[in-house]
Amino acid sequence: MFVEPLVHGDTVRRLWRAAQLSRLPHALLFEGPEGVGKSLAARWFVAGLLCAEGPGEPCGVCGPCKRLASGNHPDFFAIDPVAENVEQIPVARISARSKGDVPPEGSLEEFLGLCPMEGSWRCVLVRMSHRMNTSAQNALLKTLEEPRPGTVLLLETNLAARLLPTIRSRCIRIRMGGLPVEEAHAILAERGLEAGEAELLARWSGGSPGRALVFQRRGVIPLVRTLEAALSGKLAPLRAAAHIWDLEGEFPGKTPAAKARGRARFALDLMLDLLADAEKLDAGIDPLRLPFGEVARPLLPRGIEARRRTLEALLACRSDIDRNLAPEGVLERSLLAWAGAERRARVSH
Amino acid sequence: MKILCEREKLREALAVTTSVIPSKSTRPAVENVSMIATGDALELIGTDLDVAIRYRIEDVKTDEPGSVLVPARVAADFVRDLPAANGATVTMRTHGDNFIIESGEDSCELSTIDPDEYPDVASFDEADSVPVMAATFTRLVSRTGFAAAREAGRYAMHGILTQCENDELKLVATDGRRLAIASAALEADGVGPLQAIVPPKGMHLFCKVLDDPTERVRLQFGDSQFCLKTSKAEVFARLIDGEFPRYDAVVPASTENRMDADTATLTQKLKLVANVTSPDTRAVRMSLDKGQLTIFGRSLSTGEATAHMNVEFEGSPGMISFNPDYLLDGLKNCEGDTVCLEFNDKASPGKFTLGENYVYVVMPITVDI
Amino acid sequence: MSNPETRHPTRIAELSERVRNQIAAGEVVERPASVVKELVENALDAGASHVQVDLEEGGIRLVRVVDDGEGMGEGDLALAFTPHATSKLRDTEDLEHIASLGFRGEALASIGAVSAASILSRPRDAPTGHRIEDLWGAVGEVREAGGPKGTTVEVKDLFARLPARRRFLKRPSTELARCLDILQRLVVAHVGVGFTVTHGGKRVLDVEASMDRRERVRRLFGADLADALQPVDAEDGGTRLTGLLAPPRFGRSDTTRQMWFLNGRPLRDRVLLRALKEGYRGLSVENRQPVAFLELSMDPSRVDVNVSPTKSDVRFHEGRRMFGFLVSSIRAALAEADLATPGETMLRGLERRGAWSAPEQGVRQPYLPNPGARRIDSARPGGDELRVEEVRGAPFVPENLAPIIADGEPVTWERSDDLSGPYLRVDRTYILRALPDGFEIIDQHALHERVTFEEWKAQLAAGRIEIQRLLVPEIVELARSEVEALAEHMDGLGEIGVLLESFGRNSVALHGVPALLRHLDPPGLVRDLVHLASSHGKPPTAADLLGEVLHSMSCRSSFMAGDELSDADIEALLVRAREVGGAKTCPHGRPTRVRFTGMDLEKAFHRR
Repeated sequence: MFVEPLVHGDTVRRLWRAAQLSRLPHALLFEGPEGVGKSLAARWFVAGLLCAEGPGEPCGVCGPCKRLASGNHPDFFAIDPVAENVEQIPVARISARSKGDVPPEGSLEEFLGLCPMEGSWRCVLVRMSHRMNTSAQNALLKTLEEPRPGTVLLLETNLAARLLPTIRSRCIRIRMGGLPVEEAHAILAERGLEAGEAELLARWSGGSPGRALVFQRRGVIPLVRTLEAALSGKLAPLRAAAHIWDLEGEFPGKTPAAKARGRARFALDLMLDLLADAEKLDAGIDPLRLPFGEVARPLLPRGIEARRRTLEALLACRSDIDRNLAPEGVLERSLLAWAGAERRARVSH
Repeated sequence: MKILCEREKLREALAVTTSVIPSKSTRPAVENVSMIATGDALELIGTDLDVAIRYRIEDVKTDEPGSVLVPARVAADFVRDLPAANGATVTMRTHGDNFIIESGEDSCELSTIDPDEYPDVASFDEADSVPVMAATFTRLVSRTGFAAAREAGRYAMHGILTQCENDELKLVATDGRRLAIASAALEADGVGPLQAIVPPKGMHLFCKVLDDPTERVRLQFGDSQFCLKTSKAEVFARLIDGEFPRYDAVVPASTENRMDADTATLTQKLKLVANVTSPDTRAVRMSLDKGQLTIFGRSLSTGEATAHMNVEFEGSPGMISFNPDYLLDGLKNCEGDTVCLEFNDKASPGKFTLGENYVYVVMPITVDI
Repeated sequence: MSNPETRHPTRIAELSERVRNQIAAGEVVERPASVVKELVENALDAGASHVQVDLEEGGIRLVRVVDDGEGMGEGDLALAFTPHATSKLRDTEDLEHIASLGFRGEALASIGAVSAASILSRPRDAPTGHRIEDLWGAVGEVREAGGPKGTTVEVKDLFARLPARRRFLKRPSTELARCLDILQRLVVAHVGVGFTVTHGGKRVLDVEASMDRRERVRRLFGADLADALQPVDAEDGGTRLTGLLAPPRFGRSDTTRQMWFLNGRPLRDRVLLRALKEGYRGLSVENRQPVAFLELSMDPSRVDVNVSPTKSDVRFHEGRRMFGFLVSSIRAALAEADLATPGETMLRGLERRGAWSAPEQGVRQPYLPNPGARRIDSARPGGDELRVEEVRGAPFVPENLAPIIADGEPVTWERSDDLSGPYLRVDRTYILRALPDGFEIIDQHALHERVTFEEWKAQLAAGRIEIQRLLVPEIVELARSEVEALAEHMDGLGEIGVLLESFGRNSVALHGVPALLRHLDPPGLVRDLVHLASSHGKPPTAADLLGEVLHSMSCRSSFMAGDELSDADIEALLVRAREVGGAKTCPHGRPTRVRFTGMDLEKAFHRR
């Protein structure tokens, strides 16, 4: 139910220890690049704090854990612009005094206005906190001053510079980043990945073990090998496309059709990533600094003009996928473009 | 779980609990009513997270104890609309993930959710509770509630400070411009000191469930909740998290001027003069001299009015201005035939004694700085 | 310009290293709109009197800018695609006088590096023109080529070879909208220059050189807006503010129709946008952005345009004085504007939700007045000379209706209006009253609010503010600087009934508030005051503070909608409104009354 965030597990454990010793600061700022698992870490931390056995690793089976997981915990208040699908966090979500429309989710100030309902801890999580507009940030300042003991305000952001300096200075800042490839490699190896696989995934994911595991679930290694074979001519494009459907891999989606779309989209995105790295190689960037530096090399002799055509074809395929066209056909077309074989294909028809 | 109970009791229990259950909530589990069957009792719990009710039905026949969460609105409406011809009893039982309510030949099957997803509603703790007469409690609430602040943003003043001290139950409310204090002796001694800031929503609910004024109820001052227990139900209100203003110093200990006036006449004369005051001129001026009170009001746009009445007055002749609405709010709750006003000067608080153990302090309005 | 180099025949000179370093390097070209902006500014700078812009696929496939300016010779063309070459800047001294538009040398070079670009140019007096190409950074030779006088720059396939950047481009329709936004600003800025814009061969914008600013706004945004614009013209020292302000009711949710021009250059400077907002404060409904087209003219040496690479922000040397000047000029001009919402606007609202539809063109029944009736001009002596055809079929037009029907004539009945009933009450909120030329709807709450505000000001002037004392002084914690900012104004605040006192270094104590305040929120009030005291471009005077506080307070103290008013109440309110004057909007900028003229009614009933 709650997943330990790779890489940041120890950071969170230190916070729980601080909570056990009643030394947890009341305002925390989780900052770091996008996609390194800050939100995951924040949720895990909150779960462990509210858990009946906590503070410590959340058990996942007690009442508070279940309530948190099902969105029913009365002492947890989240402002999540991603889930709420809003660009800005308006002041009405922070302060009840604003004259704007009262949001159905209520405001942070109202949430903190009453004593906690269940245990001794009460948590607020503001995801993408840089999306608070200035008046919202100003309103939050007041709350940050002195919440009652047991209240923890957790801000998450990948753009800390957009927060008011006064907000940043009132929070304990916890930086979360990606890892050097070697460390990511080691973590993956610990997870039981075979050495060669771990090294490839660590490199291809740009040092993010979380992303590497997603890659693994999607079966990225045989997929990349298939793309390489299509590129070198060892595998005809249409046979390569057919082969991709036979590869092992988990893809998001509830129905087989959605999973198929997910697979085609993943393969396309991978081709686009490879193509992007090829352009960078062409510009003279050290291949070791690129996730797919070595893999993309065979694309170089094709020349910039042909790569541009490939890119246009792939982008067209990508938007066709988003338009819900049959993924099988789209994947075939994209592999023809990938192999630089559009013309041949047309002749053979 | 499987249980048999009286239809009428169940109907009332559901009606009371659903009265606090929201039909739509950001925490969907609270749209349900929680039912817990134990031994010979069925307990229903409803909450909107601000307030909560535990309602107990005794004398049920429990075949199989257990707990269940079912959609509150549907369950309550179904039981309410059951025809009387179906008989006086209702059977309820779980069936896989569903819950079946049956009466006579009619039944309804509701989906349930994991009871662990429901918030943990506290239980009443008899040990440290304070007994009080229902009528006493509701009287104190109505004597003070009107003075509580309503403006957004001043949370501590939204609530009514409820205290147990020196064998007295005391309620205090203020909006920063006036202050109402009412107290009553407690039957038990040696209680306290205890205190809680109870939101108006909770107070309103308490008064609503107290239908028998002679009933002896019990109060519990929790760390984060205030609870009231009647014979049928336990009602909880989450406390306001804040500091109540320190009001003791505001009530003048000694005053130089004292007026005693007939309550009805004063009310009438104030209303008379308040007719000419407008929102842009809120004040009425009360001038006192030798047994005579002159009430004067003026508005730039409408005009002015003067009223006179006889009063008992001790002190030096002087005047003090108030917002007439505040005075009338207090006089409405005045129980005695006479009301007493004590004050020192026109810029200091006016203390009205509206009854036994009932003080109302109003800050004056000044025109000159 | 005393630099001898300026007389050099080649007009584009490579910038000296020093100047180059002074100009912050940065990406100029982000999307087709930035190409359009750079190219059109170059064209304007070359003295063009007409600029044609041709776009294909939102400018992604093609941006072509054709001007009839002075053109470039062979030498200029050879340098045109070289980074940091510009015909406008020679040396550091010139940075002091940046009166021209695109002063950054790298624009053409940056464009050439990311597209297939070409320039064809022929100076006015030259017999033939020349052409140069820059294909993805490969600059070709200058070749002789025939062409019209002036310069044609073509930019094709922007970012086509830079997939990474191409992916950031949006759909052509979105890119087109961005190009048009830039072009609209340029069109409004450059009165005296004609513009033609085509997209995919279709003409999307056409403005003749002779059109003035108001006519340009009319062409771009319609007659309703253009006709309602209020001119502004003010001067302070060497700074002149001219332009057009729209009445607050035209406010929008975005700022696309806020245009500022500095010496002819469009810019989006935050200080200027704030000045505009401040100028409309109290008149504009919250969250609505005012609409205005304003030009600042000043000595280039008093402003630093080189703050950011995208050239949108500038820095004024006397920022505070400038801010005060702008706000007061805008406020003064708005005081003249017609702030009442005309019935026509409401009709459009009705139309939008389908409750009413505009009369169809050409459907006119013979017994209804024909358009000639509009030209009745009773003010003209000998009005009976009107041609009979023009008024044939017109129904009886009451004598007192004539003045309003006459275009542009002042309404004369207002002076004799006795404000009496009958009144029709709607929903305990609105009051309808017949007028000689139609009727008006009054929002009783909004009007009362405004009247209260004005009377309160009068009360204040008479020194009779009532103060509600507080039971316990409310302590509000602030930053030390905020306490100091407030300390300067405590006397002024005392005058309006806010009794404040310093309470330690980091807080203030509030002892009393105006009794008029129905709702009490001391921390909110104090924070508002701090905001007022610290947010002004210049230190606020006591009078400023009073104005602001009165504004925000009076709305809270007024009667709410829903109060039942007697005829006498209504008449008294209307008399009061007339006495205080200027009561066309409530202090928050909502209209207090809406007027339907005879003409609006005729429109509503399809008689026109």
